Amino acid sequence: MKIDLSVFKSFVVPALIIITIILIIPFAFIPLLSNVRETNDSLKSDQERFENLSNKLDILNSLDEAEINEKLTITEQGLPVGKDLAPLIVGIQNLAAGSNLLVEGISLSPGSVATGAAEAKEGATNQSNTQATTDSQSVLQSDALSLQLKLRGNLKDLILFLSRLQESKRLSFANIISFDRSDEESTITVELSTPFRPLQKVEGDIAASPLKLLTSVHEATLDIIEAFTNITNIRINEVKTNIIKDPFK
Amino acid sequence: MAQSINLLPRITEAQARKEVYKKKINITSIAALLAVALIFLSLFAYQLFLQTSRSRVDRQSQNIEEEISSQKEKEISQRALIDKLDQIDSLLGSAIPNASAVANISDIAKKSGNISISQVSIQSDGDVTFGGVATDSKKIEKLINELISSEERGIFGAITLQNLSREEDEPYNFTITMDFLLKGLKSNEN
Repeated sequence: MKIDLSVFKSFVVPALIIITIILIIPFAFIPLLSNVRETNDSLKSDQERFENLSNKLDILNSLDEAEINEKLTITEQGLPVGKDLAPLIVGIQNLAAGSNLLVEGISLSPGSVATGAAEAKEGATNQSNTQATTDSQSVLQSDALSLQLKLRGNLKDLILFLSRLQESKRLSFANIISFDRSDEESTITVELSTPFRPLQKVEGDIAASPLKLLTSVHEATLDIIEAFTNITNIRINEVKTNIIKDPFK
Repeated sequence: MAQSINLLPRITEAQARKEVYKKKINITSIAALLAVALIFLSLFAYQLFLQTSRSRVDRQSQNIEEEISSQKEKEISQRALIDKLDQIDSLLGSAIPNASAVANISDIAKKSGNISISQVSIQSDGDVTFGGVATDSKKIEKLINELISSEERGIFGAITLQNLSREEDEPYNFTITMDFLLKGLKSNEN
């Protein structure tokens, strides 16, 4: 039996075209479309980054470096980069003595450098604690030195010391205060938390990360710090030793 | 009279319709192919345009980045300043004004008829333990009234008399625990 193919001959071209279109769509059209979408998204994010960079450059150009450094110096008197223990101890001792308190001893409390990470861990274990705990955690977000002061004096002088302390820079917070009087003797124990703040790392895209400007809240905080009395601006002379540092001199 | 003879084979109406139908199919399929090709080319052109734009934006970003990195010192200082001020603000905002707590206790003791304070302890969360000695019960009553008044003013809260004892011919010894409610060192009220 012979099949007459002449009927189908005229449909060969349209059929080939339909097959081509059907093949083009999944193998070329869709990949190209997704490529276009990806490039479009990348372009959008690149444009956003470009805008961020432009804004940041505008901000940087508008800032006065000398003014920033001056403000940073004032701020670092309140919250220094490092521990700077020696001037702190001398400053607190002078403050206590100036408040008519007798300083019996200043000691670095055990585990005295509380880091932000350590505090966060501690916070995680005590999740059920009250708001007071969360507040104290926020106080200890930065690293802090813990000092224990043993003093002698009366309640009036303790009030004077505490009020001077809370208006002093470097910032020190009396976490625990204990005043005990038996007969004529008064024993005062103050546990101080003295925070310091090392430079913080910038995560992610450093160049395009936004740069903040000082707000009115920052200015107000700066005014408060500026008005505080600096108790650590004491120059401690280095002890001269006979160690030869340069054998050729 | 001459008679014309049609030598061409006669095309039936059905055949003619078939030819038109075939033609239409061919034209439609070629048009579809052309349309697909056009869309494909447009997409390709758009992709090229996007890539060119992207490389232009990248180049501009790189130039700005270089300008920013030339002001790196300024940026570091500004970041440190903002970070420290935020931290100080948080520290001052959550700290307990201990001087005010001790001063208030001393004031209450004075107002209650010179009660002698033997013990004051203030914890970081504002828990206060206040111990003292009172010569008579009227002073204790005054002290309680003063503390209630301070609670109304929002200075102390959760006032609890933990211990009240007296030996024969001796003054009253008491211990009170309470919460100091004021917070923050930024306002002038403390």
